[in-house]
Amino acid sequence: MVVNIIIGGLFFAAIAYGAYKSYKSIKSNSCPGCSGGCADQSQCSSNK
Amino acid sequence: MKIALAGNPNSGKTTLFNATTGKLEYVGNWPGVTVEKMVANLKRDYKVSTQECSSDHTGEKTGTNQILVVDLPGAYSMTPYTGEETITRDFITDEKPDVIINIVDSGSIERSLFLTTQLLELDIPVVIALNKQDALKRRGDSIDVVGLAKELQCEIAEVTASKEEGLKELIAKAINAAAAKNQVAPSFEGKGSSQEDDARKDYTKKIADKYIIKKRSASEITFSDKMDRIVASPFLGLPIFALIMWAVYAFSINGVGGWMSEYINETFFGEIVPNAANGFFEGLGVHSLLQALIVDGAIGGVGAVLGFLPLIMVLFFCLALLEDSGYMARVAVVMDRYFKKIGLSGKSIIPMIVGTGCSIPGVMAARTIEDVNERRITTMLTPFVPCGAKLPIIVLFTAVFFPESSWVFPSVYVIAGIVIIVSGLILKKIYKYESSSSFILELPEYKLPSLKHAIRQMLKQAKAFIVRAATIILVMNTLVWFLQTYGWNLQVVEDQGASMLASLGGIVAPILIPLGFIGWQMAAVTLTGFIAKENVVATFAVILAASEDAIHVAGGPLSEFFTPVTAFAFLAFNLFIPPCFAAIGAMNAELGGRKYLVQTILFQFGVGYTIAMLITQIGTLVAYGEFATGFVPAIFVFAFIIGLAYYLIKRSNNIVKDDSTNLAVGGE
Repeated sequence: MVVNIIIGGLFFAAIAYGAYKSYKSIKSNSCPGCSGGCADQSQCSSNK
Repeated sequence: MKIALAGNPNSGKTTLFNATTGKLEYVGNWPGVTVEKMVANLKRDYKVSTQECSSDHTGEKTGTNQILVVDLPGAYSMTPYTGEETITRDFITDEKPDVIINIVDSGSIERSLFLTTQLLELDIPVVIALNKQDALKRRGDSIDVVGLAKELQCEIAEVTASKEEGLKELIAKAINAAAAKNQVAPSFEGKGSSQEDDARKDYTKKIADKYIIKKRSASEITFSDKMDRIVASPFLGLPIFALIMWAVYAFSINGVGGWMSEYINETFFGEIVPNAANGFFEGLGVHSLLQALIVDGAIGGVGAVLGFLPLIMVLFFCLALLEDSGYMARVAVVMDRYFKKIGLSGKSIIPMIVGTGCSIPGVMAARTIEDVNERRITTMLTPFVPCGAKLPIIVLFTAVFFPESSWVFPSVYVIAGIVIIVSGLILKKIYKYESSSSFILELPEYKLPSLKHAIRQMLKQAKAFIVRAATIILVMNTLVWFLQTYGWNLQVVEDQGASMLASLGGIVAPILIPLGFIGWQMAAVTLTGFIAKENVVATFAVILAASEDAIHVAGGPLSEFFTPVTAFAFLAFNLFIPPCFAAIGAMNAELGGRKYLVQTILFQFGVGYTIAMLITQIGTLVAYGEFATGFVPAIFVFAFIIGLAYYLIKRSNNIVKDDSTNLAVGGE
């Protein structure tokens, strides 16, 4: 039971983190780990 | 403290920015790559020199840890002509950086000095970075730096940003100049008059003639000129481009990248990792459902995508070499004459080349196009170029259904080119416009591509790929596993057909029947593909996790769903339907209105749908001599699409007619 809670907890924490990063990126018209520098560019343009 | 990097397009600003900040922003060997300003902290290596300088000259340490470097889009003058030039002008005039580093390509000083002399008049300290010294020396030219510095009354540093040469001296000079704050504006005859621009040009020409010693005359034919007569020629340009791209893709797939991908897919993620994970979880006594979620859902899905990493790395390494050599700029010139025929200019090809990496920066790069209609159409067409996220789909379907056909992979790009041209022609008729953008591209000299640059670009793509797999793909796989394992009563289902995923997919599935894609699985894969295109591969891996063979195996579980013809149609469908959510967001920002975004999404979906339907129906008839599933509905859908296109073109003609009649009446 404890093992399931620990493994499940770790796994779902990773999923939650991935979901958060994905949501944040998509909101700024970018992908997580964007390869085009567009994340930074979008941030800059939204800061203008 | 803020250091602004300003200069002409393709002078090396982003290379200097990356070198001084440690960032990995996209660098292209052509103008117009940077379309937004980018900000980052100065790297620690340079702070050593700046600390010394700042304590010498300002006596304080403030700023040494807060030195921001701002990379600005390229500009030819402070009177903006394009959107990105406006960003540069606005930043410099409104935010007043402490010092401007004006990056000047040593090979084109005369033209660069126009902007330089304008920057010197802004009462902001300026330091000139004479970049690309290596190329200057190779040509045998030289510059009287002392004389030039005296003439312009500002510090000059000789640098080669790509090799990180002379940068410490440059930054030190910039800090000194910021502390001194005594920039003097140049004076020349005709300044302040109505003919100031001409007077400024005369002045910069005089300076260039006086301080640049050229080894050869401008009329002398260089190696680059000779090469361009072949690779950019009207007849040979396109076949050479096709041959080069075929070689790049053949090398990527059949070379070390393909071999490593095969090993990772079949052995590493196919056997080693799942077996190890299963053994580990069984040893710990983890619940079988949790174990299945992690091994089949997370590891299976993410592994199916990550397996393509070596292949993608090799591909992007080759493309970075091509780009850095200066060849891709020639591709824009070659394509210009074809693009003109569909109402676009060579300016549209640059967003599309950028889009081979990721559609988002490609879509953003379209903003360099002045004509609003041309910009919109480029934005609509750029996602048709297969981006890095679509590569796993292409490779998967090629490996499973066309393992012996080396033409399939490059043919996808040829089809994309044809689709772009045909779509452009249709859009030109609907939007009724003629291209007004002139395309003038300064071709960079050919050079031996930098391995360092290519490796950095490759690692950057690899990092992006891994991060996407570990975030958005992982999340979606977990969701897909959950939806296909449970029914609406939240009980584990015996048959996947009773799962939540099957019933959700079942809603969309009828739409795909005319395309020959039968089953809720096709719909589920298409839906997850909208979130991120890699999900197409990952979702197949999760759905087919129970199969004996891996999905990458020729004749494996995917063959149950497709014939080679419908597989090719499915490939085309996923390439041409609207891109991922993030790219749709970028299109929304660039198109300038929800109305255009909706039109674009409908258009892209219509294109993807029609192409897949034609491939399936015609291909099945030709290849197998029989009608494909959904032949009758396909005829109705096709008739509807043709009717709609005809109506839209006709409506557009009527609007133009009405406008011209109104103008004629108004004129009377």
